[in-house]
Amino acid sequence: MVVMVAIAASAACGTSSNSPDPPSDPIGFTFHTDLGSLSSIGWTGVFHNIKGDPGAAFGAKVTSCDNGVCQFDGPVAPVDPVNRRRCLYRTSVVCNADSDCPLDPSNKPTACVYIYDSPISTELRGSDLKVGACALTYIPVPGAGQPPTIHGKLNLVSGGLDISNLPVLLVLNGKPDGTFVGACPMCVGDPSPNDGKKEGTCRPSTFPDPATGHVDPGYSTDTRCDVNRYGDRMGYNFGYSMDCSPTLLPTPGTTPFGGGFSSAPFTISITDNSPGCMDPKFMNANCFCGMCNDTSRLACTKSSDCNNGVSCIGASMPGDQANVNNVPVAGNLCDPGECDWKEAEGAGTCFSTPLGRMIGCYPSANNGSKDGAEKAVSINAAGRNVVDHDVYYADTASAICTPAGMNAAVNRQVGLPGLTFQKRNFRIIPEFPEGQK
Amino acid sequence: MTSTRWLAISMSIFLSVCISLGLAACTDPRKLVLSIDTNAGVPCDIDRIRIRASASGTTTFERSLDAGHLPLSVTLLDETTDGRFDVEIMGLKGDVEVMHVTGPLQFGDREVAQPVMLDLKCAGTTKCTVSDAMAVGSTSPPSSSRFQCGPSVLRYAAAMTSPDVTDVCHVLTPHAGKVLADGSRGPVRLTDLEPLLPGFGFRFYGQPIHQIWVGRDGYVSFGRDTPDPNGDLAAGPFDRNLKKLGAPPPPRSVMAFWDKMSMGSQGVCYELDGAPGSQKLRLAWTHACLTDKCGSDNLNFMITLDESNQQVVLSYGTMTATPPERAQGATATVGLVHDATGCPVDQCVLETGLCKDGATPCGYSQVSSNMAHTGGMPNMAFSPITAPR
Repeated sequence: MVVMVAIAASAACGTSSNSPDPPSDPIGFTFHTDLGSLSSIGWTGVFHNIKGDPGAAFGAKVTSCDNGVCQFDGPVAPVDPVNRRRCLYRTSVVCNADSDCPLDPSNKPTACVYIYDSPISTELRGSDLKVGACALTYIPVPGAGQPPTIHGKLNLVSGGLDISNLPVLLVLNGKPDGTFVGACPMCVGDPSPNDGKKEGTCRPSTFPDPATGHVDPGYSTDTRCDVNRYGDRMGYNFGYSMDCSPTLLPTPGTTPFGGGFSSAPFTISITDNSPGCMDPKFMNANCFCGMCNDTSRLACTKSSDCNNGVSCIGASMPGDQANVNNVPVAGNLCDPGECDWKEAEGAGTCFSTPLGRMIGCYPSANNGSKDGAEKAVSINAAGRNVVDHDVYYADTASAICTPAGMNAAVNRQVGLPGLTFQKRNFRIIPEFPEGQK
Repeated sequence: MTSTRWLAISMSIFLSVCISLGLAACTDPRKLVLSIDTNAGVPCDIDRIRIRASASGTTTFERSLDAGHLPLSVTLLDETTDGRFDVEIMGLKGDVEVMHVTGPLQFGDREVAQPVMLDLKCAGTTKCTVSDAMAVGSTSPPSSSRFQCGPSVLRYAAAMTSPDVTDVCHVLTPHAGKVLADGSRGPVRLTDLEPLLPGFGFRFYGQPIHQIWVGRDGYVSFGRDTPDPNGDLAAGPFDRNLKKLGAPPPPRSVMAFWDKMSMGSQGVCYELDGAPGSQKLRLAWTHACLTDKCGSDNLNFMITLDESNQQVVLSYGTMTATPPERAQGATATVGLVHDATGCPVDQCVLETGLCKDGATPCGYSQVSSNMAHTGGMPNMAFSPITAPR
């Protein structure tokens, strides 16, 4: 008993004499993409399981902290050696405002944005059936006086993250005729990627073969570069850089690629209210996504997402389904509709006889909202939040219905309208006032 | 409640401890002598033993260890009415409980001497029972399988060397094989060699190797648990934790070419070969690649642990990839990690393993991270620098 009293007294003294200063509240966060981030777009599986750019980052400014929960707004510049604020249509040009960027055909400056996922080559085929395209994502910057586009909160104790809106947009180097300019220019010989030092050289890609694909020539004035990411698919595994601008044109437009991201568990399901798949192979089944049957070109998960009285239909051209350019929505291209979905990875695979190879896929229904085993069809993500050595880790997921675009070839290849499911894992680095923790 | 009725007395040439349990009795209490030994390294794996015995009260005893004073004898005195009590025996390293056996003990009618073995299996989340520890103790000669610790090594001197050119995948030695040839990502525990590790006198940062985890991504780790429990370990500089930019590298690891890789059909070949005292453990990554599916990339490199001079050697064979700078290390991290807590990389001197204050060990030796060696990956030898324990 005597020993215990002595220990207790010592502990009490220790507490009073060595009490640390309360930790400062952070003033900002940098969100880095962490391992395990995957994105999938559309129902065909061709554009599935796209790994997140490990160098991708965005910044947010803390607006308030209360009881260990900090609210934040963005985007702001991340703390990163790489300047990600670039002209959208000339990514080699760093900018602070739209006025720093090239003019469009009507002599208006083009957008100065934050590039999120750096350029990467893909094997997408255009309407001429030639492979090779270049994709990137960006976060638009609101104009002066406009509210921030990113808003969220981070629990500094648990690491729980809730981003109510992360407005990411996907852009490809497509042309109005449905073809693509080609595989991204590559950055050759940079000894150290993402260090902010341009020690490589921009060159047109050496793949694919011009007989079967396209190569984006880039800009001859883009010479020196810092690699931002490497591809990991055969033929598209070069170093790519924002400093080697792909040829992006405003005309084909952008594809929404953002949404709300939370570290809480996430589920999206096919329900009895989901649109019916219009592909004959899934005729009695519902699908995740459709298009509103009006001129709005809105994607929908159910009719109530559309304007009053408008139906949500599983087709790219719901009002003109006999049109040769219409793409009827299917569950997937698997044999026979069976997708091996791995929840922990947030990805599915199956063999596709039509394509003759393994492809990505989402689980599908084959009768109403149920699968072949009469079970409800859903995609779940467990979510995770961890605090480790003052770094926050949040595994999040999000799903949106991506509408069909004007390019029928892309709609057919990607499977649009269709589900875009993203598993984004963040490594969040807090920023503190100068000289404080 | 902690009993105030414990005392220690010397009973033999070994340190002996006498613990009385339960209520005081008028008659001489029965005795149970526990002779506690371990097959863990002392003091490198554990440096203290804590014994907690409970009947109507709880008695806790703790004693520092050194290799010369094992086995430790503990005499339990039965002052209970039914001769039954619960006992926990814990092996501690610093303040961390690394081994644990627990369970009930029932006194017999007469005094008994009972050997107890704190087995390496009883580490981490695996808590062994006292009865199992007694069974192991009864079948093991005392001290026979206890790992001996090497000199204290907190750092290595790094220098370029000539490569080890052994073709590990085609050796005709009995203790050879391959792992990760099935496309799995790992890390996988190299269980085939574990029975031989007690006879392998190599010490990594002064500590014996009990298990080897092999990662497809060009590294091995010698920790008790898998270095990548969530499958989300990403390569990166050893100081990213010190700079608060991410998770620390897994402790007790050798990164020969830590990058995101896939393996060819050969996987990672291994062998343990040589006469006692001059054995070499080799692990060779063959035909690895940096794409999802291997094509033209061809990355070949090897880790050698040399018992004779305690060196770690990193050797590189053909290293080709698209783009070429990645085969030269533009996205890889190379070096050794003990526990990366000393100082950031820009303050750590590779040749000495010391921070720039000249006294603090870095806790790692990083050859490079995300930096291409335009002349090719350098073959490196790491030689231990001993320090007083």
